[in-house]
Amino acid sequence: MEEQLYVAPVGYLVMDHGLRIIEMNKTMAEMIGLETSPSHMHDLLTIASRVYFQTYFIPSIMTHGAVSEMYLSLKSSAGPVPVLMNTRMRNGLFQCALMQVPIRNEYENELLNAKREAEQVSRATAEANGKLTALLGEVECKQSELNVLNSRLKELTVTDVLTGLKNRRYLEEFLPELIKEGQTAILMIDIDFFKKVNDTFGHHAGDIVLKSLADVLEAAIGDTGFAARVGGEEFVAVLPAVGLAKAEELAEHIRKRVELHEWPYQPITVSIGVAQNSSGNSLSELLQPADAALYNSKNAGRNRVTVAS
Amino acid sequence: MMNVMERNNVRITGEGDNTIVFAHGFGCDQLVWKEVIEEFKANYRVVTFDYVGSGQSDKQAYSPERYSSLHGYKQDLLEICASLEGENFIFVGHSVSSMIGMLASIERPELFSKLVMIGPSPYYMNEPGYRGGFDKADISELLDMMEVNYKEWAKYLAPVAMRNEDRPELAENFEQLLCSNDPLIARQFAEVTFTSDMRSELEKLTVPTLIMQPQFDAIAPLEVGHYIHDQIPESRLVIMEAMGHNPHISDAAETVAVIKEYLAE
Repeated sequence: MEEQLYVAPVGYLVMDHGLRIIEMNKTMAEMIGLETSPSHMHDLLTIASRVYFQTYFIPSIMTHGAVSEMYLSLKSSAGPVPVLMNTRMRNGLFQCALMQVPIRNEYENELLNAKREAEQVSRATAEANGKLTALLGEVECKQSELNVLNSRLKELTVTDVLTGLKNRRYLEEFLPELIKEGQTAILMIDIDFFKKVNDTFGHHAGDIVLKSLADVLEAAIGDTGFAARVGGEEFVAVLPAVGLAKAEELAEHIRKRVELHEWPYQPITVSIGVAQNSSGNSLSELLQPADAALYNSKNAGRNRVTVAS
Repeated sequence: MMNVMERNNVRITGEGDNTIVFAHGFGCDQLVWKEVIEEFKANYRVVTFDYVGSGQSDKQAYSPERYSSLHGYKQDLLEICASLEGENFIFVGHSVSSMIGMLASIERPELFSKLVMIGPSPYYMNEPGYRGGFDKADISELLDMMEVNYKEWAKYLAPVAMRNEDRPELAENFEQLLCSNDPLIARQFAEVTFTSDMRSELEKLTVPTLIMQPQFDAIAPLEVGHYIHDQIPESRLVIMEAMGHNPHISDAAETVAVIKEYLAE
């Protein structure tokens, strides 16, 4: 071997097809620091390097006649030595140059670790995101359940438990709006001598009469409006977009239906007051004209309809 | 029904009454058989392929679950055999493919008439009473080395493809070849290869088997070759002149001669 190559600042070795080492320069020998000169390439390599080398070196060199920048780890008396190896095939022999890269190797390891950490973080982030999305879905699901419950609850708070009609609270909330929206007729309906039913036949009988009256009212009003129970035996029919004459007609219809209805305990009649376009802020103010008309019906002998003057 | 022939880039050449299936090992593809199969084309139907995730297989078909054990690769092999139709295949497997072929023939003995294992190992790890050749630290060093060298062997694969006139499309797809999945697939294949313990399967093998053991095989040492020979009932062990883990590339002539001699019986 030429002197220059022998001491060149790069490890140099030549091996044959069987990976037997034919010669190496001084730099190479110093790099591995082994006392006896190794006879086979495998003797130079750590176990993992041997596997890598066997898996990729032969296929690569046989196909291209060259291998570039193969990273390997050499055994040496001072521990593993990271090297990059370039190989050329010449005259059936493999000529290899091996450059020690300890510092570069450190960088590379740092890079690899940073890359792994980044991958770890990105996996963790993706996982956390997945969990968040699932939670969000759950929250949305609960929210819609809650909405359903809420509207059910709301329905309950504005419903009269006994009759199933709207209650006073409902009117307090919505009647002012309805009246603002346009002409609205109101009927105040009161059962005549209801106290007598309760006193004679008991509260249970009274409840049955109230329920039956609710049914009669709903059937009579139909789509024209709705009925509500605002007190013990006091009912209100709200008729949006209905004129006074038509409202009086409906009131008379209700009065007749009640009179003709087959009541269980005793005949029942109602007195009705009809009013329209009342004004005011509170429910009692809004109901006042119809209430006054109802009062007139009672005074005039009951079982009759009076229109507010 | 998926197209297995496309998925596994199955190539059929040669002519003959009998079919030989050549299966590549870890870290390479069917091109490693290039020289060897030339010698069989005159008398056999010759089949080569790439496992899913390797070579020019359909990488979209790769799933980390299916290929988390050698049974996923065995499934590839069985599906290829089903597509080829027929039975009594001769199977030649290199390295980990020896064990994949073994698993397939245990499941479907009638599919195979003979198995040829080149540099096989049923278990690569050291254990008390068994020397597979590797400790855990060696495997993790190997995985790191693959990662550091990744660009280098990716480059190695690409120009191979470019030179190959059968597959001109590859030159254009050079970038695709470097697709981000590849290092992950290679890494998982390495993990599966080096941590699968197939020792208890060996005695279930009923198909006549040839074990070709090269010298100085750093991946499957000589004593592992003897171990397999002892465990497989109907097996023959041939110690080759060839050195290293890739005799079918480095010493194709001897590899061909040993296989032919065995098949001639």
